[in-house]
Amino acid sequence: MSSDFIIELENLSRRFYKGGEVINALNGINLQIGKGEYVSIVGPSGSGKTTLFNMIGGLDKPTEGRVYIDGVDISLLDAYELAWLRCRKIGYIFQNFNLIQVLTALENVALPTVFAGVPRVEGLMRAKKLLTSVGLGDRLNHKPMELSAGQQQRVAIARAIINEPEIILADEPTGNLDLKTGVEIIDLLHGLNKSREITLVAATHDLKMIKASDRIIWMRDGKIEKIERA
Amino acid sequence: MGMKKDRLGLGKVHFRSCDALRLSFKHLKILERTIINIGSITLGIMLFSMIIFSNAIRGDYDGLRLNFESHQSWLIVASMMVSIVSVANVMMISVFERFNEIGTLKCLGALDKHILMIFLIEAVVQGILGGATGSICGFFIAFISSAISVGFESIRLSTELFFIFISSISLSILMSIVAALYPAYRAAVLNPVEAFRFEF
Repeated sequence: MSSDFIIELENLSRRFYKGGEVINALNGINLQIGKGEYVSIVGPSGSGKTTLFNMIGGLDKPTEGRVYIDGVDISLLDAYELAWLRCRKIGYIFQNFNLIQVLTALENVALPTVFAGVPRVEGLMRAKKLLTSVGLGDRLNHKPMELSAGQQQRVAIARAIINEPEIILADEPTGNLDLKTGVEIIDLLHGLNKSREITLVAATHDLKMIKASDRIIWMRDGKIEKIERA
Repeated sequence: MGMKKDRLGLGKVHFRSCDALRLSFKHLKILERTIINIGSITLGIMLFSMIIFSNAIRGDYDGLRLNFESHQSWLIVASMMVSIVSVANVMMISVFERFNEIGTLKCLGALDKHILMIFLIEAVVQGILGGATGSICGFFIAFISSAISVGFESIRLSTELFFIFISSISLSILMSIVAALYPAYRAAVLNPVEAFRFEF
């Protein structure tokens, strides 16, 4: 196999059973995403974007098919290995930021280093450096509630990259932001994608975000409708 | 597609007890919930400690054999049960409120046992504090009521009282853990996908 692909989906299907009805959330998806690529996943709500995300992120298991991350079939991993994968290989960014409300910005960003076994002082130093690099050097000890939406998403991005993952999964990262802040977040993510060669997979409706990507995957009814190169 | 690797050179995730403690304490600082729980445990343990303290300072204390009369035992058991149910209820609400946080922690690398640890530490701390306040209150009530009923000269203060204090706190820690077991288990086995689907 070519080692250029960091994510490979093979005949991926996910069915849910709801009230005696079968819902095909994903239906035979085949996709390969290269290292350092920036891919946007676009589709109406209910098209299977979030399910696809959960599969790539190792949060959900496929009914059929395989997900390979860096050549490893993640269905073979046990809970400990999956936790390590989530901790070290993948950074998650959410539409509603999902910051821990009781922790400060600095502690939120440093949290993944705790699970990675980095000594506390080093973790906090790394977090401080990253927060400064995303323009929040003067907001280190603020709680999420004391930050604007854009600032919260910057904290979330810093948290996603602190363990130097190879993949960032972003689910509607600009969905809760105004236009100007959205553009800043897109620039930040795009910059990370280029400067650190992080593979960026983003589900989005945001045209600006779509335009910045290398490839656009259009989804409908659990299938890939078309793939466009930007 | 050629040969696939079975495993990555996968490492381990970590979660030091001090980090779990730190996160638990951040939550304990949300005072409303913590005060309700500590209050429930205080009330639950107060009757128990009041009766033994009362027996001890009047000289009826008989070492490990607790000289309860049967109606006292019933009252003590009932007050403890009510306290456990109340703490379990508040802990369960706390788990529901923290679905998002639990899902996020799991995305960042937390294992089920790490989540369990966070909630159990909270329970133990609440148990210690509730036990301490409950037995102190119990002691003062026993002291005052004994002073009124048998007079100051009959009151006997000995090292046994310290032993009763420690037993009361141990019992309240146990009560708090029993109350937290199910909520903590629910939190621990929560699937992140489910957690994020559940919006408050």
